[in-house]
Amino acid sequence: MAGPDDRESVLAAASPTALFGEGAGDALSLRRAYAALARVWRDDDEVTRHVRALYEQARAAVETAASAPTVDDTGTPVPSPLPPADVSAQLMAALEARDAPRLLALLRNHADPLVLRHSALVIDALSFLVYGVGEHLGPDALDAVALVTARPDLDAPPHNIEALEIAIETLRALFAAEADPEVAQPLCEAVRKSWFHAPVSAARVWVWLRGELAAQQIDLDAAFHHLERHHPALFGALQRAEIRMAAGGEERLPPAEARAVLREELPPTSELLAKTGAAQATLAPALLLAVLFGAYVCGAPRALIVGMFTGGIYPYFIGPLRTVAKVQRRIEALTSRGNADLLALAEQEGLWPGELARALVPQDVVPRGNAPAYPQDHPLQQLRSDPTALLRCIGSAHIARLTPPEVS
Amino acid sequence: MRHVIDALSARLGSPPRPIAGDALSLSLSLPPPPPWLTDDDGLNLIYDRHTDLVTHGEVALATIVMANTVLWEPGTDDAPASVVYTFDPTLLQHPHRLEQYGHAQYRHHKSTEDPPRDPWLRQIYEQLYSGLDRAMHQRLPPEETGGHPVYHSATVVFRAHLEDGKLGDGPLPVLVLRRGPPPWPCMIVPSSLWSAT
Repeated sequence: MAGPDDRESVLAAASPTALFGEGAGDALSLRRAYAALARVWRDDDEVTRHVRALYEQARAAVETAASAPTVDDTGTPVPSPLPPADVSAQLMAALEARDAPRLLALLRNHADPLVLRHSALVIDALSFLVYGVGEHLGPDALDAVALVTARPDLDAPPHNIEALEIAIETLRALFAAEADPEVAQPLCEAVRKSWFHAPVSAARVWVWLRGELAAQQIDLDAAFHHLERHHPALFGALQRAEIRMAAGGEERLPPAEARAVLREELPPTSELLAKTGAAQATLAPALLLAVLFGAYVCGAPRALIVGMFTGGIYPYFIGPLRTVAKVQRRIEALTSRGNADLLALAEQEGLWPGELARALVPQDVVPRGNAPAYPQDHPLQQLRSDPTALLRCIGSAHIARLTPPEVS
Repeated sequence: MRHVIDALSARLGSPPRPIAGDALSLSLSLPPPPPWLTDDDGLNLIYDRHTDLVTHGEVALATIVMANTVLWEPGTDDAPASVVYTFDPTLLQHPHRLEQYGHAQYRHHKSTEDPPRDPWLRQIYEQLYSGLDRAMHQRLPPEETGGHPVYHSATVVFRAHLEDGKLGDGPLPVLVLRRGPPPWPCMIVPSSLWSAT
């Protein structure tokens, strides 16, 4: 196997095995080996092309092996327990044995009779291949599954077909991301491990992911930004995992004392600005009153000066100005505060970021105003809309919350 | 719809597109600004960054959330609209889902119910309530979109870019600028470039 840091030996590798090693015999190991090499040599076009060419060769070989009949240790095909003519019985047997390569081979070679006469069985097979072992299929095998799923003569409820197609597209995105050297691979690993798993399993994976990303010193913002930009379907899969976790149980509130303090500290910006508006509104009438008073006492042109002093310069003029400045300072402090303390509270109490953000909104809904209630830099908005927020706070309290109680 | 988006992306080519004197440039050119577009209107960004949009814009699939009513009838006026769009290939394959997510957002427009308490949803509510907000490239809460990344934006609908000069049913391709400093504008791709694909 060629050393990843030695350009000459990488270019000298004439076969996939020489480049990726014997261990890269399955689709996942191969993709990982390729991604590692591609990452090292991404700035060198010649090496990148060579690595890619050998990767494509190896991938084709892995796909062919996956769709071949099951063989024993000596390479002899294992005889089918059922007569080859009865493909539906073979499909059922392969399904019961959870034999993915056999299922794939049957769907590839006998799709017509199977779809025509046994659509329900085919749907079961497709569901197993996609939801059960989809992450272990290679791109070519997935294409074969997609071809059968897209057949117009497949008799199945449209929502079943649509769900399968969405899952297939997500798997495609996963495979593409695994071959992208710019992608933080622990994110792919997390999707792979939490694919269609129960919320508590997904939460365990995300706790692992949080640790892994920190250990590898991966910039979370940059990693998610890259996914959102270049692998939106995988970004969506991560969001769906978060939705599944957050939906796994009753909504919970932070401790009452912390809630009261934080509600006080994090008011909607529009509510603060409303105070500014009220203060500013007193300025014009104050000035008018002052002028009228001055005109009454000594007439123009000294009316303005006298009026302003005698009309009460502080309560109606300086006072409102100070209020405006104070509110502006408070908004600046609020928006520069960040959400680190909120994330710490979410971790400690096992709260989902969105759940915590909603709990800290005032009980009385703030009326619609001219200014947004929670602009982008408001700490509650940051907590709610940052796609990395959960990965910055998920911990053992979240797992405990999702773990079903033991029945004695 | 996915084949339309794929074909259009192939036709436009990868950014940056060398467009000087090109027929594409001509097709993507903008009519003069409509009279209602004042200097302080956020939609001026479509004109200000038009060259960037054409050379570096990325193709996405969009659906109309709401549009000025004149756009649904034949006429001469260009008018503003709110769209949601996505780059997610899953939704390109199932555009009716994008339409569902977009139409659901219309509930915020002139809503008589209390504003939502959720801060993120509240932001979207504020943007859509009056129809005058000029938000651009705002990601919708994932709970509103089945987890798929979907974005909301204001834009100008140019009749010259529409088949029959008016809005119809169904999703549309848009060009979205996702480089340089935000806000990132979007524009509907002229139908002459994609309706035959």
